[in-house]
Amino acid sequence: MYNKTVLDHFQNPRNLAEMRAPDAVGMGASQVCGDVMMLFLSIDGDKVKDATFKTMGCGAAIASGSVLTEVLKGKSLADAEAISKESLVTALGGLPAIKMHCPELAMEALRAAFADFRRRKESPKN
Amino acid sequence: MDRIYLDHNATTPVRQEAIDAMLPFLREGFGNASSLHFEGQTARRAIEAAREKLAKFVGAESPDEIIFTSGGTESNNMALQGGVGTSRGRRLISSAIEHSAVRTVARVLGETGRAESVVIPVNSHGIVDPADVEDAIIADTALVSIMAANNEVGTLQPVKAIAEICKAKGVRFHTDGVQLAGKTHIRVNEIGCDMLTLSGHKFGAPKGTGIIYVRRGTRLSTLLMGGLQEKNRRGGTENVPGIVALGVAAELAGKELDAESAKLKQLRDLFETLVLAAVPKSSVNGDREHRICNTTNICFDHTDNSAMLMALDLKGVSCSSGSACAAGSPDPSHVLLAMGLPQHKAHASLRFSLGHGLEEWQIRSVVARIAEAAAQVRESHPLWKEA
Repeated sequence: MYNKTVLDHFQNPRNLAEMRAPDAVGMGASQVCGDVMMLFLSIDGDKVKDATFKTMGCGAAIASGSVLTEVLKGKSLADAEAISKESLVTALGGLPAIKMHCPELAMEALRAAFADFRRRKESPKN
Repeated sequence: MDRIYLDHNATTPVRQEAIDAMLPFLREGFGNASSLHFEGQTARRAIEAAREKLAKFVGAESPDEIIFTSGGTESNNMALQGGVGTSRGRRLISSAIEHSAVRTVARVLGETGRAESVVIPVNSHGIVDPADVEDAIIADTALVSIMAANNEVGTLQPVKAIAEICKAKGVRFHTDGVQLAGKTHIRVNEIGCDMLTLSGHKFGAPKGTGIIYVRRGTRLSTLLMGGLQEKNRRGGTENVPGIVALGVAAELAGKELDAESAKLKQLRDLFETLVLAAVPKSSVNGDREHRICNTTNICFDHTDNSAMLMALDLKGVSCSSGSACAAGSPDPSHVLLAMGLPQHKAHASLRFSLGHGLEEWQIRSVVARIAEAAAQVRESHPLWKEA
């Protein structure tokens, strides 16, 4: 069902951890299957210094979170915001059609993390 | 790594004896059983010999009560679609934990106005209360269809009590007995059912084989119209090799049943004990007393069952997250939800079903792999904390 890249991300998920003092946290929850993903970002100036994730979900959800953190690391904020669901699917070497809501879950976590980052910037005391 | 197959409720390997018996009917015994010549009559005799074996297997009074079909789905469709068609009533009573081959048919018959579909709930142990069936029966009832053993949690349903109620009320009773074969003795007169479904590939026969037992005198309208095969009850040239293999598989299953079911129960109980001990925060779903000998359904808290399936598959272990017929659907098991399990528990549950040929060392070796898979999947769960 899955290709070697997806299986590798599932078996050896990159950056699978909860971050201690993140600069942004985003959560996604799939309407399709109920899966949940948490994304943690460490942001230094204009750059994503570190990204980690946790997910309650299937193998494709774990692989999507894993590849998202890999793609995010070192990117400028502008480039990070420009990441698309399609680019995640490409980075995974493709996904079965019934699993396309998994990278969408990762995208939702990413959008939520950016919203959180902006909120924190506007009221820095929090 | 050696693979260990724990998904026998989905399907079983075909028994070598069944393969050996069917092969000649793919070769020189290719005749059409309806033909009057030598080749045809050879096939006819083989089918009738198999019919006798199946009659014996389910305890039928006459081989005439056995109709060969393509499997469980067709047999269930015959019972339900054929059952509401000929009857005086419209109400069709089934349970919330039926296999999709009953559940979907009941739903569609209801939606299209061919029947009034009533679905009986189950308790938290996954068992139907016969009193609920009794309450649901009205004068306008065509058929009651309640499975004998559930495919996901293995619970045995009180079909004897339900059959008695149906008999007293003059309503026909069909039971999906697919998960009984090879696990417990099937005696249609003890159950008291009017119809019973069996699927060959669940007990060592090839896929595409099965029967419906129809008690003499039970009227049933034909589903597959065509030729006069199966005494005009099921059109279509008979699957002679499959039927021959089915007969052999039934004979074997009957002969080995006592030893086999005792062994499976012992292995299943051992498996369950070892898994519960090896994996923290795991628990068994469904009644542990009233269930078939080979099945266990286990919830691993803070896991996702599709991730577990994948991790286990990569470790050489085959099991399932419910019915194979529902795989690919992101919805959690309708059986577990009907038992009142919350969504997240249903999403964290796996079915393990044992079968012929498994040995104790395999059961012991699989436990560590399951513990590793659970640890791996829990690692990714946002809420998992080592106790």
